Amino acid sequence: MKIKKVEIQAFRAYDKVENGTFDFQLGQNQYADFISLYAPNGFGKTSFYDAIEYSYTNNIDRFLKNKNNKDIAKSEKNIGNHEKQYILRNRYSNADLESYVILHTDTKKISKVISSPRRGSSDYKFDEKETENKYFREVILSQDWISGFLKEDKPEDRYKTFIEYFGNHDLDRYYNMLLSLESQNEKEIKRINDSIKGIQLKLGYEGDREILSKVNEKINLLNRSRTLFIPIDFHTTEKDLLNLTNSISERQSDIAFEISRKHAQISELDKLIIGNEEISGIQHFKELLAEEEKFKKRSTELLELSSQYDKLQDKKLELLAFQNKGTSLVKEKEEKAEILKHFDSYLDLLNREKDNNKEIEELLLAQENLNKEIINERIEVSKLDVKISNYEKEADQINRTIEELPSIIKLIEKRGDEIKSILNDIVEKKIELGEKDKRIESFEQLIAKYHSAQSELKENKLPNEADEYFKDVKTLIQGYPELKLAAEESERELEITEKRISENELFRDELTIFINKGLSIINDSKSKSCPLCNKEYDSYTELSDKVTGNKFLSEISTHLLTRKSEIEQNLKANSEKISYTIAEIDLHIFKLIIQAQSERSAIQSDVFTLREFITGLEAKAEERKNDLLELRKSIFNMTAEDFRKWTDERLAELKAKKDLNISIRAELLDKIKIEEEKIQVWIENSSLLNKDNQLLQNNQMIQDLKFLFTEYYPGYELDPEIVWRDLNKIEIEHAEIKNEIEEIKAAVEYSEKLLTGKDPHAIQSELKELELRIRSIFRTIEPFKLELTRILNMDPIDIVPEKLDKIIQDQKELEEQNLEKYFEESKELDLLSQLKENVLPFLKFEENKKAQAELKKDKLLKDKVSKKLEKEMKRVSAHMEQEIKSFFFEDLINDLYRRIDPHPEYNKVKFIPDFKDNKPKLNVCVYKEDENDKFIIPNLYFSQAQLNILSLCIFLAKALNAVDGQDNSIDCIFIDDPIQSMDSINILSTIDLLRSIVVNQEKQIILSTHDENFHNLLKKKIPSNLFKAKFFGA
Amino acid sequence: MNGRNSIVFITAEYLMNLTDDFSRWNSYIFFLAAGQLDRPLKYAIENNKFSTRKIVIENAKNPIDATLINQVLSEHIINDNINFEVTKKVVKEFRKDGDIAKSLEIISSDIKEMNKEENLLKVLNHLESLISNEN
Repeated sequence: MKIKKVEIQAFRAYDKVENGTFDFQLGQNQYADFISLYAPNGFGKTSFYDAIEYSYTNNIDRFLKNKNNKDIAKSEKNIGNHEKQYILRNRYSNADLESYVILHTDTKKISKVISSPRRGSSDYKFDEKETENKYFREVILSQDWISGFLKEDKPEDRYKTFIEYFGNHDLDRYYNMLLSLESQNEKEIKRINDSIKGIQLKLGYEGDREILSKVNEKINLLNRSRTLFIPIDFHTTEKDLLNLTNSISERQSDIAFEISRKHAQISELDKLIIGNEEISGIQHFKELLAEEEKFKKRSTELLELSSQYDKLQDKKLELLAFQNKGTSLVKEKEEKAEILKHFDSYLDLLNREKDNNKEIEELLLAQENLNKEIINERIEVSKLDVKISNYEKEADQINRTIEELPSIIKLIEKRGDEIKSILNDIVEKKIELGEKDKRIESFEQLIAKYHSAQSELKENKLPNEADEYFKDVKTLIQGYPELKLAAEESERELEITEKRISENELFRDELTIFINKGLSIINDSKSKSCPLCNKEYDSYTELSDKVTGNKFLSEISTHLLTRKSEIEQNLKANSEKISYTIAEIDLHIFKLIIQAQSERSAIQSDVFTLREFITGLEAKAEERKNDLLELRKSIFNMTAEDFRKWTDERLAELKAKKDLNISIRAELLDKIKIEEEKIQVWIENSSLLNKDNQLLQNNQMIQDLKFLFTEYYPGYELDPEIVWRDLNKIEIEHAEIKNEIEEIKAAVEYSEKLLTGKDPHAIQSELKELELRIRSIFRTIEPFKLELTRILNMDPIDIVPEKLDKIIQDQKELEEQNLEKYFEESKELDLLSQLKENVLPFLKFEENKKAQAELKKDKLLKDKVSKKLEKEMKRVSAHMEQEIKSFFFEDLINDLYRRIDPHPEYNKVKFIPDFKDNKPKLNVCVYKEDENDKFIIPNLYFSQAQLNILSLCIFLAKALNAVDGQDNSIDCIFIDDPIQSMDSINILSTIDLLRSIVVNQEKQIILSTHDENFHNLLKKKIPSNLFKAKFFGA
Repeated sequence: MNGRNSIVFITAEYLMNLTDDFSRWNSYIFFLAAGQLDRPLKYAIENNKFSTRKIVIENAKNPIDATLINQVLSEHIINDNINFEVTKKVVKEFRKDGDIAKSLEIISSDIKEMNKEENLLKVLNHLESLISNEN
């Protein structure tokens, strides 16, 4: 792969693509194989390589190498207040300019656009993971690589640098991890060895080695009935043994308690058999039981008799109670009947009151209706009165009008004449007004004309001399054109004169110079002949005086100035005349305006008076018209005859209506009188009925009834039904009580028959005696029973006296057998306790033995781990050694190094990796050709230039053999400033070597330099006309 | 004629007469010696910066014929005898020991974490258990 063209825009130091395009084309389909870019430091050489690397690998290796770069960028971002951070993009480029790199190769075109970061973000991530086509880095020989690789003094640091630059990071990490693991494992092994030594000191035991089985034998024996102890083995701990000791002690204590308890139980069983001072023996207990049975039977019989006697007494008392109740019910029945009797009269009175109330209500209603009717009738009477009055008023009015009719007719005629006269006056005055308005208008026009003349005068336009209005200033108007013409003539003459004065002054100056020249010639030549006019004079002196005293020009000037003054005076006089003429005419016009305005004002005043007068006439005419209308209206717009006829008819009609209404009114008044009398009667009736009601309310019988009723039924209204219901209930209850009494009487008779001959006192006496005897027996047998149930742990109900002897005897034998067992177990426990004391020393011995075995086993395992780790480390180091050897092409490096020949003696190179110690090392050694076993580390002996050449050869050899991902050769090599610190001899040999690589290997070398001499030297050594070379200058 | 004089002579008589710019800038003077030169002398000749690059050939074989001249040119100027064709040794990918790799998988891959003693012990214990199971 070779590069044809590079286009860079807004990337790092580059701005517009016009200045960032590097076209390596030479001719048709021909491209340069050797390219030299010259630019002083800071002009973008490194940016050029950054652009190419970024476009191909999506990353820039030199930024990643220094880990601080990322932190620096972060700090810059923080300082920059989290604005967009441009690391790839040229921050000074115009914001609209797209940032990109386009790499044209002979196989493809690679475009890389740098997108704009978000606010607070950067356009470069400092992330190795972003890298693509990592292999491409091998052909970019940056200054960092060339000068940095050999700079490390220590071989272990160089190894680190190598790994960092080119190495297998995973494997290196793995190797370091193995080292850490190995170190840790060694520590563990040492710890185990120390532990084994400690345990060996504790291994010594001379006791019974069968002790465990002996102890377990005893435990199994004791565990037969139930598990008391856990058997022991090699795992038993000291704590377990302590627990065993505690368990034995607890069991011993339990057994002691049980033995004591069994003794007590046997003793109590003996007490039951023979008895003591507290309880009787079993025989006496059985006898007392039989006697108690007999007494209880007799007592039961007597209690039955006593109970029947008590029941008889109760029945008698019950009978008496029922009889009393019956008596009280009979009394109540009588009282209720009495109340009911009162109710009959009460209801009659109540009905009367209701009837009264109903009648009163009806009377009130009728009274109200009739009152309403009377009111309506009275309203009707009032209306009739109004009508009658109206008829009378109209008749009066008509009669009065008839009387006034002749004078009204006269007045109507008079008013008509007056109106006609006023209207004629108005017409005359309006005509006069019209004439006056016309005169005012003509004055307005005249004043406007004068104003116009005044305005025109200001522009020096005079009025027409023929105009009648300006006859007084006619002479002035006629003389004005002449004055104007004279002024213009004077101005023209003044202008000509001024021009002549100016020309004369110029001519005089020139002539003065000319004369002075002539005078100097005359003075110089002392000639009497004038050199200016060739006129002969008598002597030189005369000529000289003539020339010196020449007044010609000054006389002309004086004449011209005098003339100018005269013209100016004429002009002034003329101008004054014109001003006078204008002023006079202006004054005349002003007077005309004043006069016209005065006359117009006089007419305007007349017009105002006339208008006032017409308005007055119009108002008067209107007043008369209204008056006339009123008069005509008073006789209904009729003629006198029609009006008289109409009044006769109307008066007759009014009289008929009046008479009719008077008749109706009289009828209505009669009716009202009758109705009012009727209402009076009704009021009296209502009063009587109310009085009757009052009497009914105060009736004594009703008062008594209310008292009785309220006593029995407080809160209820007077109602006989309530009393009836109550009386029925009493009847039923009384009947039931009667039945009860009959039944109880029968029962009493029966009981009395049964108890005949039985003395209740004797029965009670015998019962008391039996009770005393039973109590006495109970006091003796009850303690025995209690003891029996407690000792034998049985329910008192289960006690069967006949079987008691055998039960007690069996229990006693059982307790004696248990006692024996406890004695045996106690003996065995003592033995176990003694044996147990020997277990702990034995177990400790076994434990130590086991621990020692475990430690040995563990150590064995760790030894195996150690061997495995060592073996793996050897494998890793061998592999890395292989990788390093394969990375550096040692023979080629030596060949290249020899051609440049930087050192007179140490001209061979060797790479010696060293993994013998924990820290891997990478030695780059040089040696003399004839001393191939005596290596030196060049850092200590070589100059910086020599180190750079060695480094250049190392990386050049690598770049020459670089391949891409598909194993295709990458034929371009980028070298950034290769000649730093080199002397001129090495520079020449380096150029020869690079030229050979281009020519012989057909590789493309793109080289940059800050040294203009070197760049120019390259032009001479690899000229474009002979080689496929191209040179780019700053 | 000593070397210095010869350089001046060559420059005056030969280089100055060259009209071709490339030839003028690409002339070399070889000093062929039968034996070895003293180091200072060789250094002085080769580092003489006057006019052309000078190269000392020690132990030159006789005769100075075309073969020798070509050989010298190939070695120092044309460099057409460099063996660029290196045979790259193919290093097979390293295969980690299975037990160790498995044991390392149980802890974090962060290098700081890995180197903590507790993590190293975890790995070693796991490795031991694997070795123990193998047995």
